[in-house]
Amino acid sequence: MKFLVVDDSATMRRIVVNSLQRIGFTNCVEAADGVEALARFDSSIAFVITDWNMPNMSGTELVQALRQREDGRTVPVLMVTARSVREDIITALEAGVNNYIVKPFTPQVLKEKIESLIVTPAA
Amino acid sequence: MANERASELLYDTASTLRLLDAELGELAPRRPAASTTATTAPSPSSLAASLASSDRVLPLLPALFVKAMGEVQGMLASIRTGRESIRAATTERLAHTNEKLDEVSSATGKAALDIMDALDRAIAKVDDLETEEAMADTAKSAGIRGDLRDELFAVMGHMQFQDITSQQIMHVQSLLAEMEGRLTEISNLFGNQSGEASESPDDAVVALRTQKDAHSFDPNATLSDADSRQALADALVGRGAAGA
Repeated sequence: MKFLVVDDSATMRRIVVNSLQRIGFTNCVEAADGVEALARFDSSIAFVITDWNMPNMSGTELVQALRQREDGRTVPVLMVTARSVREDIITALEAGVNNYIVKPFTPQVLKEKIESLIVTPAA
Repeated sequence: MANERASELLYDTASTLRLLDAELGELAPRRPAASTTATTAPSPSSLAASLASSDRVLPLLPALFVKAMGEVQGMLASIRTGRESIRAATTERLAHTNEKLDEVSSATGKAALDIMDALDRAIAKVDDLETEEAMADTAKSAGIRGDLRDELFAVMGHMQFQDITSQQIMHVQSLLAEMEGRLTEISNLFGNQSGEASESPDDAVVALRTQKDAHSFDPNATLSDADSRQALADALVGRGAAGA
C-alpha cells in the first residue's frame, strides 16, 4: 500500500513516515505542499496524509483538487493538522477529508485512523 | 484604526489650510495695485480706493487670526487623538506578540522536558536489559527491548513541538510585518522630516510577506489539550459519518 505524505515541515513528514513504517507501511512518497502533492499523485497512491497549512496550496485545496480527479475521487485522505477549531474541522470534512488528526498526535492515534479508513473505504 | 486616524488628521489639516488660503485670498486683490505703485505713482483716486480697502480688511484680521488659531487648536487635538489611537493599537499588538512568544517558550520547555523524561526511561530500560541478559532471561529481555523501542519512538513523537512552535513563530512574524506596514504608512503620511527617502519596505512588500506566511501557519497552533481537541475532531468526524 503506497502512502502520499504531504507537509511543509520536514520534521513532521519524517515523524509521519517513521510512524507509518512502525505500523507496517513502508511505501511512502513525500511532498512539501499541495502543488507538489498533485504532481506526485497517481493511481498507485492508495492513501493520502496531509497537513492543512502549507504554502502555495493548502491541504483543503489539495483535497478539493483530488476529488475533482478521476483517480483521486475515492482515495482515503487523512488530515493531520494543528487546526482544531470546530469550524475548521467541519470545513475540512466538507472539502472531502475522510478523517482528522490533531497535532501533536501519537502513533496509536495514527494507526487507528488509518485502519478505520482501510477497513471502511471512502465512499 | 491608526491608519484611519492618520487619514482623518490629513483631511483636517488640508481643510484648515484651504480655509486659511481662502481667508488670506481676500487680501490678494490688493497686491497688484500695491506692486504697480513701485513703478508708477498712484493716482489720487486709486490711493483713496486702496486706503478705503485697507480700512475694510484690517478690522477683519483679528477675527481671521482667532479663527485660524481655533483651526490650529483643532488640528493639534486631532494629532493628539491620532497619536493616542496609534499608541493603543501598537500596545495591543505588542502585548499579543509577547503572549505568543511566551507560548513558544513554554511549548519548547515542555517538549524538552518530555524528551528528557522519555530518555530517562529509555536509559533505565537499558540498565534493566543488562541485568536481565546477565541472568540469561531472554523472554524478559525481549520485553524490555520492546519497551525501549517504544520509549525511543516516543522521543521522536515529541519532536512535533518543532512544527507547532514554528507556526507560532510565523504568527509572531506576521504580526510584526503588519505593524511594520502600519508604521511605514504613518511615516509616509506625516512625511520624512529630513526629506530623505524612507528605507522601510513599501506596502506591497509587507503585504506580500504577510499573505505568503498566512497560508503556512495556524495562528492558534498549540501543544496544549491535544486529547480534548482530538475528541472534538472524532465527534465531528463521527457525526459526519453518521449523516453520510
